[in-house]
Amino acid sequence: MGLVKKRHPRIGVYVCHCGQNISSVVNVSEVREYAESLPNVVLARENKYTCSDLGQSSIAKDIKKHELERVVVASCSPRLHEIAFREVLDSSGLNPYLFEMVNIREQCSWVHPKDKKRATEKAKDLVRAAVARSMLLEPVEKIKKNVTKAVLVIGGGIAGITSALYLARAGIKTYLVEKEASIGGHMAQLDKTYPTLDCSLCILSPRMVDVKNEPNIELLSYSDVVNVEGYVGNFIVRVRKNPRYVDAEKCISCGACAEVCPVKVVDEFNQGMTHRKAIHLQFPQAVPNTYLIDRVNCLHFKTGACQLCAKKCDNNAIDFSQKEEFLDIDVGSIVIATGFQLFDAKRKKEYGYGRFDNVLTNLDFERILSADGPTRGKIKRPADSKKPDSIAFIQCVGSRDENFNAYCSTICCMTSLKHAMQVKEKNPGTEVYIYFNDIRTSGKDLEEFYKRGRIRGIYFIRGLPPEVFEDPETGKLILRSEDLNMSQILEKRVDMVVLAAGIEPSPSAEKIIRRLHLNQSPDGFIMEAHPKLRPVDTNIAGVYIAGCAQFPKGIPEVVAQAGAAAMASTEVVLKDEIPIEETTAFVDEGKCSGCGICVNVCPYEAIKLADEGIVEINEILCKGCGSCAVACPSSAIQQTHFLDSQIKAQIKALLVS
Amino acid sequence: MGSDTENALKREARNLLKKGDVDLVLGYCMEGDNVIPCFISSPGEVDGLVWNNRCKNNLAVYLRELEGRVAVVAKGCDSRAIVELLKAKQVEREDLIILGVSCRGMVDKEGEEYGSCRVCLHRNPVVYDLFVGEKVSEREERDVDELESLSLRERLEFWSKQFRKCINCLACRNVCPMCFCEECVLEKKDPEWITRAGDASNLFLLHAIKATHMAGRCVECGECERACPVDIPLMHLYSRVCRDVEELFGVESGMNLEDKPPLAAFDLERDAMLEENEKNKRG
Amino acid sequence: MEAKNKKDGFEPRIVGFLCNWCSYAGADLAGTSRIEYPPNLRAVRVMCSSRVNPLFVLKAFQEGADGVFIGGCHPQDCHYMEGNYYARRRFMLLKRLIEYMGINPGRLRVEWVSASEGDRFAKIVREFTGDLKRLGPLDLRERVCDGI
Repeated sequence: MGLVKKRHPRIGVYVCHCGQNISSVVNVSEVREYAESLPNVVLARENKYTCSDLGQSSIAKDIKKHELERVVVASCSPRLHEIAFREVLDSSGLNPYLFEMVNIREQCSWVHPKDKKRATEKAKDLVRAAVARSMLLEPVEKIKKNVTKAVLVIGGGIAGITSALYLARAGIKTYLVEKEASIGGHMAQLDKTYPTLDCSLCILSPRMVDVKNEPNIELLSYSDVVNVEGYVGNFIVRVRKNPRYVDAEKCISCGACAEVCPVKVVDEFNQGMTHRKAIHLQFPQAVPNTYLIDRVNCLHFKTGACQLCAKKCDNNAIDFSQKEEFLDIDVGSIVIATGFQLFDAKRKKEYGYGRFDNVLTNLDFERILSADGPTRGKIKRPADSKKPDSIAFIQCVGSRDENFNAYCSTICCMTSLKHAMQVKEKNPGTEVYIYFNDIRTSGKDLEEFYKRGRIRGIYFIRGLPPEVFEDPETGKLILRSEDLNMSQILEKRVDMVVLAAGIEPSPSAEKIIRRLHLNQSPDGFIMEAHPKLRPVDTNIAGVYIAGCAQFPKGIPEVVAQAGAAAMASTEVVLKDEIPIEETTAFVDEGKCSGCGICVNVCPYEAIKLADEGIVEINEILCKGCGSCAVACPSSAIQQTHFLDSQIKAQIKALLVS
Repeated sequence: MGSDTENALKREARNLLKKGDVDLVLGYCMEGDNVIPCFISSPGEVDGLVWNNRCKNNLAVYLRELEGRVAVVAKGCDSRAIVELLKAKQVEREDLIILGVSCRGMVDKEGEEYGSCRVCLHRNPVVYDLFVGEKVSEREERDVDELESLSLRERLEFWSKQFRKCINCLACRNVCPMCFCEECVLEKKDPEWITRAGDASNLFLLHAIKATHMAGRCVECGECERACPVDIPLMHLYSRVCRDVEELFGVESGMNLEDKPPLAAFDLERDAMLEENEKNKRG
Repeated sequence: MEAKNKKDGFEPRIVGFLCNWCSYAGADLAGTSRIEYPPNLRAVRVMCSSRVNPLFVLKAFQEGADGVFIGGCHPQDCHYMEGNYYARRRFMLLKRLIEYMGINPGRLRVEWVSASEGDRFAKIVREFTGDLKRLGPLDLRERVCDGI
């Protein structure tokens, strides 16, 4: 330790105006004067913006000129700028942990604007406590760890594919884990993409092939992340590879096996509107292009018999003895791109999804429009395969709805518009109605897209029908609503209703969120570290988010975010070493009685009872919660930077006045 | 001429020492009119052992300091303290031979039963290697604590008055078999939680901290109360903590080697329910 | 009851131990969202609610706090997985102890506040401040020393 423990250190205090954010409420000069009067404070200054280059360099200068040994900054939340100020100390030759920050913005001026006097008093109390604490601060040496130069991307939709390709092409070993048999995600199910109306798979599938051919990508499809441990630079990820019962090396995707397979199963890829076999390829362009046996439905696994596929396969690719495998992967950072799930439209009972055959979701309709879909791209009523004379789209199903999700799912307006235009293109005679609350077109080229739709004879009706009825005789669907623009009651009888179901976080992210303790937004999506400046960072260092795992967004935004997440991960893994949690627990061996109660409360198994009848703490495993320090009856365990003495000084000083 | 139990105890002690099974027998002897703890290392001294209703001391307090194999006389509270010491790895089970005896309640010189004994529900030893004498029947119900009926204000007044008497001698801690810390937080200098020369609020703090440290540890032997030179009714405080731990977390200290320390454990669903109940009750 | 006029204009002093990841972040969010609450609480930032030693709470009362607040992450959301579970047990017990010693358990408030609950943080501080105003000053030191 470079610095000698000294109880009369020279302290510099900086009180920030933050423009007027603080000074419009807190009397900054009064706080500064008060700080000057405190013991050991050798100087106190006011800054317009302490975080600015000017503010930071004035601190640096003072440290040298006035031989400051402690620095206290009263400004915004330490969660915002603590690291930046610590770096000022570091580069000025002072240990960065000899810094203390006082939050007089978020927790003072911004929340007490009407009581300037008491806000100022509170600021003074907080400064006094920080000065008291700062006297007892001790230098903390950085622990550095080597960085594993590899990245894990969780989720193989367009977000994960994009991140993985960027990373791999930058020369970084990348693991791409996808729970489904093929990568591609929801985008593979789409027929066309707005606003260009180009074919979704035509732009996606070359990227999927790139993934397959990219030597730096190790694709783990049909696999789940079952555990994550470690910290930035050094994560250990356990992946379960589920058995396909088909040897990927041998399968040439000829499809002979599926032809002879006697078991017909509802096809999830086509939203349950067609059937597949128990042995199947998820879709023709699947990557990897390997068949798999769905164990739940396979006759062999049910009865022990059959094996027709194995008999038929010339390459002996079928292997019923495959077992699940577990892989432990070391990576330096993680990109979470777990995407979304569609709002379950059955929950909105009034619209009859699941009850009325001719009520579909937007994703169902994508499959109907697709040339690979159940109707080979012909628009037909599911109930009787009749060409519909009229189709109604209902917006905001499960979105902007206090009963379900309060947020706007962002993409449904343009998706329904796209569908409506496709209907008009295929069957110009079909009447198309879009029932909406608001049509939202923010995004490049989307307003133009909307205008194109308006001149195609699509009827836009403001106001959603509260319910959908079916005429049992004709199968026609009846929608009654109030047209809010025309102030009149409308009744429409249509052949088909398409529900613009919204976007929800994928449940597959849940385990990773829990395991890594990621912050979640109130709506369940993974919360970014800062809504504007750190949109791909999470609260956990080294873990980044891309795509709809963060919030609903369209393909261009997903791709942009995926690139940013790749770049952020690159920043981690291009370093050789990285500093890790420094405020760990340590034990005063002379005071430990070896009772071992601390061992019980450590969630990281960082504490072990050694042979000498005292405990040892592994500072690499320790994450610095401090629970052990409280469990220890003799306080033989302490937490660096959160010592009992420091906290006690703070408590006392807060209550002096 | 002692009781059957005392004679049986002597017989066992002599045997163990003769066979060399133990290096020491920890029990009670007479010193004048008083019964005191004693350490017997040869068969010849065994006749000095006594067992009567004056054997109040909790012998477990000495175990950490003793070397070699020890046979210890243990009534209910001694045995519970031993259980806690074993859990806290302060003594080794293989170094101990526990001579279990049942207690009928200890009395002072005037023949009055000690408060902690009057309310004791565990007079029979909970763990032993050899049992001597006869088991006694246990009381089933606890007495109502008269302090519970006081108002908050009266309780604060009561305790303040009691703690103002405290001379901070720490006899209560020194005699406690569960106070095995290498450095006691009550005497710590960095930081100093209890200001020695400070006002009486320091004594309030001292006893409050000590009570929190008793949670999940105290076996209610009452030694602290007997040791207190100014008669602070400490067992009221610690028994309340014991009941709280019992009511909340379902654990009574010293009863079972397998119990986890209640404050170093959790039960997700149960604790959530408890929290709700406590909130409704205590605001 | 204590003299009513003593409560007039009484502003309780609250020490709040806030965990870095949830409650402190929630308090910050109250700030960025400009949600007002009374300036009675002084925050002490700790990494986890499990770092809060019951003796910190007792010390705060001794030093003159009228109320102590402890904020942690919601159950199952603790940044350190289990920290708040230990804190929960410790403070359930401490509440009972202070009650037995004559301190109103309502003066110790433990809440789980997430990083997204800025409005809830403000609401809790508002409520707690109001509760403590009704309870009046604790004056533990004076009452213990002088028996008032």
